Amino acid sequence: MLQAMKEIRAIGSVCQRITPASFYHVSRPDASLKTTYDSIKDYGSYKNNIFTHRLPESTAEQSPLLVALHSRLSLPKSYSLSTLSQALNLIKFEGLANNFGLNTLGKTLLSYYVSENLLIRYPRLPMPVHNLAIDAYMGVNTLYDIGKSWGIEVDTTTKLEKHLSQEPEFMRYGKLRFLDESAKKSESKEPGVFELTQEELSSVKNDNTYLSREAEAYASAVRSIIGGLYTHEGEEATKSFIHSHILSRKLPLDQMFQFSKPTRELVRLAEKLQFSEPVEIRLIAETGRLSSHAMYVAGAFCGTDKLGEGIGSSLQEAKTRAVVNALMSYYLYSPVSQDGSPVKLPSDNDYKFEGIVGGGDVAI
Amino acid sequence: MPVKGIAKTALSRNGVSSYVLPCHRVVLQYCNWGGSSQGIRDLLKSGQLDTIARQRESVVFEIARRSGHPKLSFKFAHDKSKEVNIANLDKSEIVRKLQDNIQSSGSELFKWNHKVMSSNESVRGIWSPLHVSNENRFKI
Amino acid sequence: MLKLFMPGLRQRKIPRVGLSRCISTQESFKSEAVTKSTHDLSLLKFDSNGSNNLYAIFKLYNIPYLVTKGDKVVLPYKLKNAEAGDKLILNNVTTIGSPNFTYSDNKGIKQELYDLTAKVIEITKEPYYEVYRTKPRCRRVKTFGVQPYQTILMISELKLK
Repeated sequence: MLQAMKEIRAIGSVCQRITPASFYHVSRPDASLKTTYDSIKDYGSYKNNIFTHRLPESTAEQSPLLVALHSRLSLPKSYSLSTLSQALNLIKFEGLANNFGLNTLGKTLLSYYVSENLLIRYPRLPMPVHNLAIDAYMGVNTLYDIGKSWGIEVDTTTKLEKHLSQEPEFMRYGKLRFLDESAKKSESKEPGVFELTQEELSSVKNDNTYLSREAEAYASAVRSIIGGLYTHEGEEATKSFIHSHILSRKLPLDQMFQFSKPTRELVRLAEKLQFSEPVEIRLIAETGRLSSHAMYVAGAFCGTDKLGEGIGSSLQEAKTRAVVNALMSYYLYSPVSQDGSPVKLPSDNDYKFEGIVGGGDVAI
Repeated sequence: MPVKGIAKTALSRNGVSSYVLPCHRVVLQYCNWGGSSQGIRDLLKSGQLDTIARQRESVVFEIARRSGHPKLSFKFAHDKSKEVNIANLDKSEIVRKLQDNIQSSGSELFKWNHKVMSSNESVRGIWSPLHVSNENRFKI
Repeated sequence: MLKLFMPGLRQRKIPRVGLSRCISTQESFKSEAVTKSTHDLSLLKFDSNGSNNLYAIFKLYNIPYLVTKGDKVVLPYKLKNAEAGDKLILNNVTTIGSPNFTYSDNKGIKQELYDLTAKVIEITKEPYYEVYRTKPRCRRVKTFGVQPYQTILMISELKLK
């Protein structure tokens, strides 16, 4: 045991001597991109020397899948098919430009418009719920679902299979390409059984949530299509695309709260908001204690103001429901502007700050 | 942590502000020899399929020659698919089958015995006997 | 100091208390002030929290449908001259309501007050079933296979202008 410890220490010290940087969190350029630079601090001189070229528009036009996808999403004419094909390519080493940049761009735009929307529409959302709400709109699972509904197909056949079935070369440019040749071959024949690579195993999280590579690839393609729209059409078109495809979904915010001690939280909230009178829970109505299925209606009150109301089959249940109801109606408050229309977003024209700021979360 | 969140995904509402046709690919399979493929051979010869394909630019049309009875296979969003047998049907009937199925969502056929299908909560809420004012309550 | 603003108890699955108040255009109200206020739907606007919490009853072939935004309307027939993806502007609306207020007019609400559109999302069929028909004094039962069309609409917009 002791010897083993010593060995580990010895190995540790060796590591320390060879690569001291590995003990810090340092971002390094991707070696596969063969990046060169004049000076490490001169970011403008960074240049990737990996050979890539963009698909010629004339080739992209021959792919029926690309033309159909372009029309299905009703993208503007200026959005070239070669960009669309690039958005579907995740493979680095085939010489064709991949979607790395478009993906980053799309992700940035998405997170801006989604968080802007949530912050303005629900200014009092607690931080954990806000983060999950952003995930519900633009998390990998949601984008995977969107990608599937757009009818994006995955390129799963190997070169040999394509050759044997005499599939034209340009068909694959309209498909989602993320599997390299070896991955395609190792596809298990058993339906519903997948063999995970070492890389995929490491992505399995502690809570047993696992995102397949396919889901990640779909999400990245959706983000890249949004990024591509920005490069061709600019901000306005991207914003309306995000609003119509992503923010038009229904967010079940009222199912996303989990309270551990709701009563205590409501009392703290009342303290924080400096309510003049204490929070009280009162019984409003009941069917009678001796009735066969007793029902109680409880209300959370502050003086004469009713903050929330709940129905339960026991006094405790009714009370908890009332308190949770009061908390939810506080957290899910959504402001309206002075003329009764929804408030404007910061990215809208002639936006004026209308003075609604969340007060932050309460601590118990 | 006072409040914890529960992870959910936003529900898809295809048709609210954007609409993507669920059908994205149609494969027309025919046989060059069999008599049951006569209708689809007529359709392919007439050039009517070109006009249909031009009208529906968002759908990929694929023509496959294979032996056996002819069929149409449709691929829809979310990996749903449907196969329609068109053996011994004439040209116009095949066109009707094609147009009908392209416009469906590919989910299983069902009958909904109500007028409206809603994922929203009722605006007015549900009537409750416990909230009727005291004098109007039912007394035993 | 922040004011605690409650967005209405309805949102949290709470039943309403009492009857809702109605705003209606009645012939008996002749004074101009009243008619003006009847077309001012700001009460409805605020109560629905910026058209977020709104329902409407529209009529299609004289059949009423109560809808909110994002609802699917299932029509048991093939809508004439409509294809999947078409946008319909529904202009025969008799009632618009929020949790506490209702605006209704049996002759139809003026179109400039609201915005109600639907999209044809699907034209499909009901599952196949068989209908048996008999004639009197005849033992023969005739069987008919039926598979009627269905049109599904999605309410894509419902708001007050």
